[in-house]
Amino acid sequence: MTTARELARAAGLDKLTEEHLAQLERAAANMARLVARLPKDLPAVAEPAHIYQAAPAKERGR
Amino acid sequence: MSELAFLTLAEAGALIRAKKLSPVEYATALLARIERHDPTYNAFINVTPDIALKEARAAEAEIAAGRWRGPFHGIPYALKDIVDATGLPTTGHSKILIDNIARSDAVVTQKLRAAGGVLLGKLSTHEFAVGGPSFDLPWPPARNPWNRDHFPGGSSSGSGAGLAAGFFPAAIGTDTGGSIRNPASMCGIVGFKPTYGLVSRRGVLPLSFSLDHIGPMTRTVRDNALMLQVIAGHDADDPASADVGVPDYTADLERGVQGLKIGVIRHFYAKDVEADPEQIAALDNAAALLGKQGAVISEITLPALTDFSACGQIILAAESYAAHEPWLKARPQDYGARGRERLLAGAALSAAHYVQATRWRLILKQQALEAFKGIDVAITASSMDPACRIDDNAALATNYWRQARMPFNVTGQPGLVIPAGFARTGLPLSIQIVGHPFGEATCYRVAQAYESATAWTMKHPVLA
Repeated sequence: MTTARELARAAGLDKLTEEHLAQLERAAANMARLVARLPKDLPAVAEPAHIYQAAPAKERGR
Repeated sequence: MSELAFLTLAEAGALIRAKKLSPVEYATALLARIERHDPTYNAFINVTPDIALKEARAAEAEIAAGRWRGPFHGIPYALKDIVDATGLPTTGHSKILIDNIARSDAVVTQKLRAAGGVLLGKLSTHEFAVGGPSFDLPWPPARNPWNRDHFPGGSSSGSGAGLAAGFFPAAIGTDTGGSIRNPASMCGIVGFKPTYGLVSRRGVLPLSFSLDHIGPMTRTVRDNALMLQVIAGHDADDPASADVGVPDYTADLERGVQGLKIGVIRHFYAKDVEADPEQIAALDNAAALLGKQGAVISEITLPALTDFSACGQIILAAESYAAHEPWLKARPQDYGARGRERLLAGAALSAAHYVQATRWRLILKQQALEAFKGIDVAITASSMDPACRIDDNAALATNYWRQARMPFNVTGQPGLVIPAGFARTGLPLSIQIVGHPFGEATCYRVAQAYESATAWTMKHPVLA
């Protein structure tokens, strides 16, 4: 279990006070609850919602 | 005085065009009302009377010379203080940007100026449109004009409060997880998050790049359509801007709902998250009313509300952390407590979590659009409850969950919130009308039919 202090150190958040670390701990716990809802069975081919495009649609295929 | 305060944009525009209302007198009257009442409601961070009167005089002179620009000419408006206006501070309601002066106008500001609008000032927001209400920032939080002890919603809190208080007939809000529609629900006004890409984001402080929307906030449906007409349109310099045509949003307003197919997303507020009984009754009554007017009502099913909320909150946390990381590292103490805690959440996410959430987003969007096949619009809840007390921390904490707004930030569909009566406490209730992508005109058509039948938007609070 990563502590808030370890999380902060890894993220380079070096100026967080004890109060801020307590906030990070609560925020991380909340995020963990959300992350647990992420689907585990996404098809391997499922794309992200935004796909990098090298050029605008009208310029592609020229 | 109160007659001018609660003129609709459409009424004021017609009077100004007919030279029966002076833009200077109108702006002066509203500035006096703001000076008298805003210390109680804190809608404004920065009132700009010099700019307002200069722009009002210019509008008056142009109209006198026969150069009427359109329905927004001479109309006072205000900007959420994450939207740039040249030479004015854009603070994000935060100590972090207290000295940040905008060097140019946001695109929406440019468009409102070009339409002849009269800028009254910059409005309170939750810190960086994410953390609030907060009492530990350089400015106090906005208060709800229906009861100043209650939350006005957020993050476009000053926009909602100022409209309900009669300080201006039009304001710009932004909406990343519901921040236009929440204050619309809490303050009993009309707020529209348009389709993602319809309104340029350029010149607006980002919170979450793929979820951020800019939109109009007004007191009536027609006014909202008139304001969206001004600010919608393609911007080649906003990479998310959609190159689509902008229809006449008022053309079909009075066509009624006869024959329209309206889906009710009831599971959002009756099963996934159970709404307050008075809010459920308001939604059921709205569906019944629209059915009596000839709409074909059916229930539709989308993925669970909690799935949309989780997906959207993960994306919001990751993207907002990316935007704020330098300040969170260098100046964490300069954030308010609520903003800091929400923004730090992104530090707990991995790259894989973010990508998985965006992959999930695409699936949720496809499932939502599939459910919309065969209907013209859907109605559902915006907020599950009337406004809680502004000092009720437990109720405020649930505010981000007891809502059905995030689904349409995730899908990018338009979501329009209009008043739907009042709770026994006297606080506003609301409904949300959701359209197909770029189906704003149909949302307005349904909203206008409902507004005309109920006249909730004609009720205004008595200020303390």
